[in-house]
Amino acid sequence: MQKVVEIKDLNFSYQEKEVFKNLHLTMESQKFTVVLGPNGSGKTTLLKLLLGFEKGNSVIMLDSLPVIKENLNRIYKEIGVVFENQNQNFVAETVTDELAFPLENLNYGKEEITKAIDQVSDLLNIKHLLNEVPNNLNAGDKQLVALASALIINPKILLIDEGLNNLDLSRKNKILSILKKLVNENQITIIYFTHDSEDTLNADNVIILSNGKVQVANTKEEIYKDENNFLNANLEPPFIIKLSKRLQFYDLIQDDYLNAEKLVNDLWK
Amino acid sequence: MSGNIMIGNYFPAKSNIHNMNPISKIICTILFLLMTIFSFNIEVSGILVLLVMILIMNTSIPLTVYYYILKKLRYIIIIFFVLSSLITFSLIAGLTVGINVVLIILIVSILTLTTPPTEIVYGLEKVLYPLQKCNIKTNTLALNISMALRFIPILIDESDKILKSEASYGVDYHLNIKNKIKAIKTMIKPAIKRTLKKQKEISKSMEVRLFSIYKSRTNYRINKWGFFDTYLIIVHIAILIIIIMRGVIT
Amino acid sequence: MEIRLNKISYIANKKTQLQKTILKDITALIKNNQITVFLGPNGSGKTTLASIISLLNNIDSGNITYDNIKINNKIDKINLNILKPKIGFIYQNSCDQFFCNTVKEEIEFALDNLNYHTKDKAKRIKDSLKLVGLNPSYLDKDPLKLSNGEQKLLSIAITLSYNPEVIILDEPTLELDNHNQNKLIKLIKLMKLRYNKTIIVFTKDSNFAHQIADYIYILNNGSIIVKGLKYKIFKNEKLLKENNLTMPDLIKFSYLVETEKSVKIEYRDDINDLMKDIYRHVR
Repeated sequence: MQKVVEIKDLNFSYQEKEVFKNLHLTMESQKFTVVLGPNGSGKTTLLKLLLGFEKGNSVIMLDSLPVIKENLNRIYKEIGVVFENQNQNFVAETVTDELAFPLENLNYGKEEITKAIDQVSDLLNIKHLLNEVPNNLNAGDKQLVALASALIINPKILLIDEGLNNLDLSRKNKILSILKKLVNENQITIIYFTHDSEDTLNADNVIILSNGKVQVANTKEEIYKDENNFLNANLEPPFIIKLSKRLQFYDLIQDDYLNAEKLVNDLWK
Repeated sequence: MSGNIMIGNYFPAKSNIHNMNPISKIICTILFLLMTIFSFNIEVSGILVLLVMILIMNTSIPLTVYYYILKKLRYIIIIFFVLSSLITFSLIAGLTVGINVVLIILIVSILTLTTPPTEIVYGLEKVLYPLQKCNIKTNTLALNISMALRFIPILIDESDKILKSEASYGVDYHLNIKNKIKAIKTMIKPAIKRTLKKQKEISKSMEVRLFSIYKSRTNYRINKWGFFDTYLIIVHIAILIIIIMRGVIT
Repeated sequence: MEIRLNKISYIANKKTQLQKTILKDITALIKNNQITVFLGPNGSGKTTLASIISLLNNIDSGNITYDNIKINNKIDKINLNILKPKIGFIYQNSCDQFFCNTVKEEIEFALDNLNYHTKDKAKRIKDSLKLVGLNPSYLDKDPLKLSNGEQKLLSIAITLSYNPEVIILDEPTLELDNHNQNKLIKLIKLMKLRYNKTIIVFTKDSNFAHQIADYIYILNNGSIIVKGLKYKIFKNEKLLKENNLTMPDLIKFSYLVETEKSVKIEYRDDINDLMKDIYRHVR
């Protein structure tokens, strides 16, 4: 297994509060990993450490590069980040310019930039927003623009910090399936930080973070096997898993189901 | 939040001035500012008022926007008018100064309303280029000026948020003078604190998106140099010369 | 307090190129001591309507009646002064709300300026925090440095401190994890049942609405699309889909069973009850 993130023995305190102590964490490359944790469990801090905004006592490896000041430029070329709502910052006055921004910084030619903007706005279905002012968009559209602007440089690693919460569920699911496709076909790595267990249904791997520690890290199927993995972190499993567990208890089904339609079909065969 | 019209904010539209190259816009703005410095009597100010009105007509931005900006800054205008009237014992002198202040506000607004911040940085970089000979880091300077330009709308945005929050607790800025003072007093420190924090976040996120002042970058939307650019610069230079000559003669 | 919305309209950036109608002819009745939910997708005008009802924004046309006080598009300073202490607003982004250095100062500001008279202010502040489950150690903390969940709870504590009759919440569950969401649901029910408050919630989270709503208005594209009781709204798949909303999980399951397998199992509010129904039908 190729490790895209490697953290060993990390201690980190923020304003006299110990956030991480002896943190050990690895993430697999080219997978969709969901980092799940309740409010205040250290998710955003972890992201900041991965981006080199903060520094702990041990060096983090990101895609086999140590996250130190000298490497940040190289690292940023390979990653795209979608920040949490409150920390979203748009730099341009039209969505087109916002999308062009990272490519301008890479000295792409004007035609290449036009092509890239076309592609990504097609992919996320935001063509109708291209002439709008990013700051005037509603919350969901803002998230889509932020996502587009992260994807436009064709990053190897995409980091999303609660970045799709404002989307209506149907749109969010469409976007998630697009992202999953990118992982499977283009072999990118996605790391998705969230407090919502439902988001784990789309994951390959899940890391549950609680009180600055890794509660459990495994494939989602393995994690779903024991409800306590969630309960111990003050979280609940996704609805369909909760239901599956209860049905298993009454011997009505054998396995965990991830899909409501399939579950209904099998119950009433 | 939803399209606040204020100083420093870009107003998207298609107009002659929107389409101009940012370099010529900055040059014209500088020339205009020089003109206001050299205008000592009210007739010259009158000419400048005409000039600015022609420019405003060419921006396709509704007059209500400019009115709103002036309204927000009315206290500054009034203070300048009153102070200069008192100092010179002349109402006309005070009026001239007042008009000049209005002109300055309007010309800077025209620049920021028709030019996105990224273009302003680009334009400033190019215009300040000769200063490089004097060993001044023009890249950084341009970036700092554009950050300062951005500081104002961010500050106003954060101040607005805080004032609104205060209003929900009964300290309504619009209610009366007593409330106004109280609201502003409580607002200043957190507004500045939050603006500085936001600026830091913005520069961090720009770094992640690969922005570097040390490297050259493409400019995706920069317009070519057009007829209007040359035309306007010539007009400005001409008027400036006329004003200086008049000043020298009289 | 009973609030009547009568043909409220709101247009942003009037008379400019950016002009946009955000709300159009909104008419609704918010009954006393009930939880009224405005359910609407992203961009439907929820936050604007929420700030209007909270008196933070003016209306362009129409009027709102708070019991017997009428507010229209003219700024009515006297009535605003009377109404402000009676209304509490919980922001979507909690950090937009705070501007003091400590939690204590935040609550104090509200108490002082909304003329909440109490003999023991310090106790009132501590009690407000206790109500939302925050211990006194939070008093000296910087509100902006708290976690999202803590900020939301603080927001509610501040609002409860001056005991308004009406509490308005704008997308309260967005930033909250399961545990804190459940805490919020309990708090909202407590505010209704024990403290007799009138509660208005703006959200796109059907699951959340399902758990707390007494009455639902669907808001989309700035207009009220439909109104009704929980089950009428949530069983209507077409209606929800047209308005970019989802069915609550529990209802969706029963709905699937009914439509796919033509078996009628009950529509439930609790997963354990649903379990029992399934067991009965399958065995």
